[in-house]
Amino acid sequence: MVVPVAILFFIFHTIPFLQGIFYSFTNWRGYGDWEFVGLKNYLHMFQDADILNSYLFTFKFAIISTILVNVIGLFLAIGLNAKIKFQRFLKAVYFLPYMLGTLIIGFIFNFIFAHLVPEFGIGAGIEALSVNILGTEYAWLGIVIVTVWQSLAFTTLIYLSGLQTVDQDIYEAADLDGASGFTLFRKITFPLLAPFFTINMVLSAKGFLMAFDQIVAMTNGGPGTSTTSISLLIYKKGFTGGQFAYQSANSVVLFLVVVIISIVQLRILEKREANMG
Amino acid sequence: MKSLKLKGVLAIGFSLLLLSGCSSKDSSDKVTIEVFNNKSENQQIMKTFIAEYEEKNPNVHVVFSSPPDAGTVLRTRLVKNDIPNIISYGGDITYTELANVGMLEDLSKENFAGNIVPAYKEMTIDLQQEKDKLYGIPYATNASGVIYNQELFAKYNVEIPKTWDEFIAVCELFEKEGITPIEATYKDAWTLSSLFNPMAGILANDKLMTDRKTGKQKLADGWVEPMEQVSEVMKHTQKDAMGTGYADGVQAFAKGKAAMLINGTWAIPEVQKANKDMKVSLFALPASNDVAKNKVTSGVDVMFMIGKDTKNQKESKDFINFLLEKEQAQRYVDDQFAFSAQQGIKQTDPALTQVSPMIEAGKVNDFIDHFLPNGYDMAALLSEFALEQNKAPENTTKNINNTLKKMDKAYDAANIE
Repeated sequence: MVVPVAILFFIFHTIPFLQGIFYSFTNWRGYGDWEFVGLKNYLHMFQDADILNSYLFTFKFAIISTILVNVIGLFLAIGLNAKIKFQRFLKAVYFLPYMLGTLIIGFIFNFIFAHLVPEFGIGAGIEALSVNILGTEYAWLGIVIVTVWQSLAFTTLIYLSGLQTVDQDIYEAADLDGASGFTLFRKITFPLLAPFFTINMVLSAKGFLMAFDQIVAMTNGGPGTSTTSISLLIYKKGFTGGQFAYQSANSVVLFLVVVIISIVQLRILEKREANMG
Repeated sequence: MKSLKLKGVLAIGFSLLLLSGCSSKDSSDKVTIEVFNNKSENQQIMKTFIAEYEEKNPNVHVVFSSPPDAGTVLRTRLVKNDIPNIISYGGDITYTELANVGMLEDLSKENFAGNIVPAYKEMTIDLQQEKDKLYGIPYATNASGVIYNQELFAKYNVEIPKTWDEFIAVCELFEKEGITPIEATYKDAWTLSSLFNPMAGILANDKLMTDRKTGKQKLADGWVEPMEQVSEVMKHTQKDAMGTGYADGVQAFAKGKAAMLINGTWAIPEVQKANKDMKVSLFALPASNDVAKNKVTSGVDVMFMIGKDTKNQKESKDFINFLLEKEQAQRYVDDQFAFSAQQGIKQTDPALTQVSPMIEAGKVNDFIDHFLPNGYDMAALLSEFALEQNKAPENTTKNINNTLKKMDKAYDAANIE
């Protein structure tokens, strides 16, 4: 089974990827004639305000979302791991958002932010909630809320499986030593979860740096360009803006950025795991 | 393990066979032409026309594709050199590009090029570099303007405003009565262009767009007043204008929650879908206080082009001819609330009595954004301005200057050559 999958992967993933790198050294607009321009596209990127703004937004969005998803996910996992009633049912409920398509979630929240929240805000007399957040300068917060809500499921699942691996004897021993509550979490649970923490950090950071679907569905990059992520900019300008080659260069840079960030995260966090072990 | 591998290879090979053997047998003796269409609103009527045409011409099979985000799809197809036989598209910057890079056949010698309304033929030629050719046949045109609730206007004895001052007076009158004057839908940034286009078209110097291209003038030289008007209009909308999308805004307007909706003829059927009994009409936005200067902003909404070197051009031309026949052209404008770019076809719908005479008299301006380079995101720039205005309405002058600076900068950067 490995060989055919590798062939398919090569045809549908590796070849287009190499094509993209190739075109990033040309001035191709997506149609018509083209010639080689060397590194011109890459150099031009650094003076392009659109690209700069999209990187700033994407990093802000990715950092905040990563922190929120991991903190909340960890607590949810600990809660769901405790001896509570309806444990299975609750696990299923918390996992539900993961099953839905991001686009659909985006459209549903569009409705919630446009109608339900303002109605509640007006009724309760809360000025801040009386308008659609997606039309304000805080539109990015709306996107963070939806993204975190959806990503929590997967993060929580990984932490839960991590908690299942922790031997109960350790807790009994800790209990004898008089550790409880937060101390127990800080000294025992969290260190034992270190590898799972690493996976979650890397996966969520990677996912949020490439955010696209929910933004298309909710704001399409607006108001203005305040929520235009890097992927959305590549899509918009690359296909409809006649900047195919130029945005291919942007894609290559985004790829390198994601790879470097992931490697750095792995290095730091794995070192941490070793220290904790 | 070995047998598994073999199975896998067989499965893949078999599925590739399936993919390649997809041409159905029954259409093999037919001539197939593809019509690529960019409007979601006219799919129904186009499909009706196609069915009728196929009935008359059993040897032709017309494939209709009308994907969402058609501009992007069309460009990705051009990337693969997969040009549709017939492209049915609006007269905007996409046409300019296709015409100038030699992707289209010249139709100026065809007999159906002789019946175009002169104003729209000029508009089309303005969009292309070679002035002696014609790559697209304008079919239907639209008008941008102010859709208004006739019942509310009658109830408060409001006259149709003829000048900018009168228009603002109408807004203030409704405000006094506790009615939202304008339902704005700025969450969909393109609707800001519907507002800006008539203002810029009427108030700015006619030469501005061509002078901008040659660098003789800046956008900032001609657009201060239109931008001031945009900020003025923003004062007379519902509170959450920035958070209201086009679909929601149309619904609210159809429920009678506001007196006016600044958009275009294409939005009238949407309003009527939401509320059959509503009496709506459309007047041209009077941006100038000089009545003689006020024109309708009207552009080519649908034009037909033929892809360069595509097969079956005889059949493609015959199909275009069929669409241009008087009967079909009339049915199209009646169905779509459009105006015809073909001579002798009248739009008599009561909802359009305000603008029909102006259009027939040729008192039209093209949409400003039809002259902007591709990749120039006018809507996003206007949306950014609207956001700044919402945050700090007291800094209007500063906001306008900043936006105009950005607009000029973006114009220079729109195409990195």
